[in-house]
Amino acid sequence: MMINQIRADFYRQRHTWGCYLTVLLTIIFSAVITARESVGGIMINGTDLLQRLESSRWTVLSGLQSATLSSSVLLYGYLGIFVIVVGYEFSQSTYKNTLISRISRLQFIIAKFLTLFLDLLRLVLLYYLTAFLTGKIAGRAWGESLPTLLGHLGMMILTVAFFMNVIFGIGLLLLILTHSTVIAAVVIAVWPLLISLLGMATKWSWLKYFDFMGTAQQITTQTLVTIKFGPIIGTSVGLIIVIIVGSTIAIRHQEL
Amino acid sequence: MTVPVLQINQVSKRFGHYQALSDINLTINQGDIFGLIGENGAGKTTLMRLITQLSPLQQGQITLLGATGQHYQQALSHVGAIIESPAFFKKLTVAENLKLCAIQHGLPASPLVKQTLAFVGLTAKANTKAGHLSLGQKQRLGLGLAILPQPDFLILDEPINGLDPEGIIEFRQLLKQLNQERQTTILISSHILTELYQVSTRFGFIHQGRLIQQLSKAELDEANQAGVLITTSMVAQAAQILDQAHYKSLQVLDDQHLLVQQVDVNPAQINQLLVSAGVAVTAINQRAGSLEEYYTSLLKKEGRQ
Repeated sequence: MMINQIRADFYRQRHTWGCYLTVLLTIIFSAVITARESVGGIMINGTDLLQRLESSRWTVLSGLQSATLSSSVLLYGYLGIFVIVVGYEFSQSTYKNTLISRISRLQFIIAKFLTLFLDLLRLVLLYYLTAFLTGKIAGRAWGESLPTLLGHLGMMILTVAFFMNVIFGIGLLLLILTHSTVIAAVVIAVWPLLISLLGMATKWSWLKYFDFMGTAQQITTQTLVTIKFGPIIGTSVGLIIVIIVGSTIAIRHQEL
Repeated sequence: MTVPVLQINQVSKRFGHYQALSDINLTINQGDIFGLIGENGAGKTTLMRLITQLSPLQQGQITLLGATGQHYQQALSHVGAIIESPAFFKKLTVAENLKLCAIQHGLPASPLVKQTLAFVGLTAKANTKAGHLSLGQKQRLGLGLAILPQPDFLILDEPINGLDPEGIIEFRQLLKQLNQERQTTILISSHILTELYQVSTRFGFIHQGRLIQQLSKAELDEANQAGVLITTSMVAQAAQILDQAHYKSLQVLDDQHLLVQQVDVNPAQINQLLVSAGVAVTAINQRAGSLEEYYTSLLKKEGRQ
């Protein structure tokens, strides 16, 4: 039933023009920032890399790194996917049809979470592949040996999609708790900024575990020391479990 | 043999201080079209939401198609429902909404979508966006989504609200067709009691969260003295002739009136039978059982208690 739900969600997306628009915007955004050697986004720890990128000759690798530094912008663009996959279910009450079937509440939540992850994975894949190809078309050097570069590319795609999905997961939990797509979408959109501002204002060191986009940027630009990698991933995985279990418990006890 | 599709035992539901349902006991058997009657806020929708698990059960037990507890979810896959209003994706077409439903249930879309479109009369609207449908067409799409997985049990909460008279008749025919051709058991609520009377085989009256009475259509008709009313000065002879002709449930009301308490008899045939036997018939009328009258009198009784 869970696989059927995921298939149904992808069927629905194939028939929604907003999904095609998101794909188009991803390609345009990636191509433009890579071709124009411009970087933009919400970042705290990326300033060193930013200076390096500005002062050096761009390679395909630096194009991919700049794409990572700009990846927080993707969150805004991909809000539409969140609304289509989860928001519409609640705003149009179609979850009633879904839940009056063999699918359990837990399967429903996991199916939504996986659909969002698969969506983000293919969009982020498209984003980086566009950056990769644009860099090559612009005649830039690889910046690394090709196998190493492809390894980096794979790592970047997985890391950015994973951490972006953690933020979407928080949105999913909020949507189920509040039944408000607006609240969920706003929290997703402001999450990186909120954590950054809170971090600057309070100096709470533990906030770094919740700076998902910052962590994604650090991992993919190789500025995060390997030793710190474990606890941050552990926190994210733990949070995903809390999101799934919390959402399931909430939806089981709600008047739907 | 009667097979229970739904058994509700001692079910109660409370929202804060408000007691929405109290000790509901109800059984719906296979093949029933069960009409649930009650005023706004009586608890009809709450009961339907409990059955479909859209509302958590607080007290009592519900057995659906023989399943309770962990197996209940499995049993729900044999249920189709429209609760409150039909839900669908407005930006998808009618056919796309039905195909989506087929995918969700792991069913082959191609024959089912076509069959369902034809069944609910939306073939011509297959490529129209669901959001652009008229109210009646939306209700039909809702019914289509509910019946596409070919459920054994259909739960319909106010499905004829907002339909025009023609739409109501068509909807009634659809329900009867489903019940007769697919043996689908149906639980239906509606404010339009005349319509509910036309379609239902059993009735349940719910008032202030309590199920105050359950009865079959035959019992309702008997209570309402529905049937064929014959006016004649030869009541005794008329009764004897009809009895010999195997008419059942004959009731002499007074020295001028005889009631044949059967709704499926032909007044013209009775008239011909009596006249040919030399009984002078002054008038002959078909008397319909009025669900409204019965419901109103039931509420008055409840009010007095």
